[in-house]
Amino acid sequence: MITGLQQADKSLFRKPDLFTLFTLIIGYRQHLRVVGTSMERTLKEGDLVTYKKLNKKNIDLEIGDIVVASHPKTKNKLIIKRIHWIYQNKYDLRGDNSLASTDSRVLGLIELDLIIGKVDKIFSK
Amino acid sequence: MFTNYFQMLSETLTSIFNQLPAKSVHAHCDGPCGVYDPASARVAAEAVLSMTKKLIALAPAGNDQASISAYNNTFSRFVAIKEEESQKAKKELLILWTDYFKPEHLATYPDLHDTFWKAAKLCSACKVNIDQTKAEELLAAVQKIHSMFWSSKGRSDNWITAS
Repeated sequence: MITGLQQADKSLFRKPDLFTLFTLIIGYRQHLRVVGTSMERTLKEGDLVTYKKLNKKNIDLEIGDIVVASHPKTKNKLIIKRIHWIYQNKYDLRGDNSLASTDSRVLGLIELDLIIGKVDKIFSK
Repeated sequence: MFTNYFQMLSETLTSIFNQLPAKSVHAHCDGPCGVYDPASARVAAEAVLSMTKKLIALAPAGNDQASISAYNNTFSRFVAIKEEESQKAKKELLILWTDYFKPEHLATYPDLHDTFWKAAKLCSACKVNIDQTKAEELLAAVQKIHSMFWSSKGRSDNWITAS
């Protein structure tokens, strides 16, 4: 766990509901399957997360939010990390499991353009 | 009744969510997480055995003060090394156990947990005692782990000791 970063995020609503299913079907929300352990204990391998796509109207990212971003160095690869700090519209993204995470410490600060969405729900298997 | 209804609904929805085809999002390292090799544990276990043998064989050269001081000094140093190497062996074994070996290895090595647990216990026993049998058992346990490790990689590296 990174010093200063909030503990595993328990605030995200984890119970599945019809509204979430509906928003997934109509495409208002997107969903992804987590691979890897860099976000443990918050996210485990195999967890399903839903996120809302960012657009110019809803950029309300805060420190502590979990976000989906395009990998800055590998095409067509998505990463999931937590916002650790924000420097002049650039984002320091870190994994909750700092010992097993390649994040801004290696990848550098992530531009806002690369951030695709903000995770709002987590469903464990 | 409503509680049961909502629970059923929740379970059904969970099942639906988990069957949704989904793209992957990566929460892992891009580089290798670590380089693993039981050799580090083997070297430490060998040092434990070596120090144990030396301690058993050690005796003061005479009854004079200089001989007793030299004996105490050497004895203390051997004990300190034995202590340190036992701890190092335990640390290296725990890294292999918890970081390298994965749950899927249990299918191939059902005694994996038992082997590591006993090996770690032997490290403690070697630290606390001057017991050559325990030190030899530790080295044998490391050899077993060496075999498991390399066979899990589809290799069969020879067991070669430094001493």
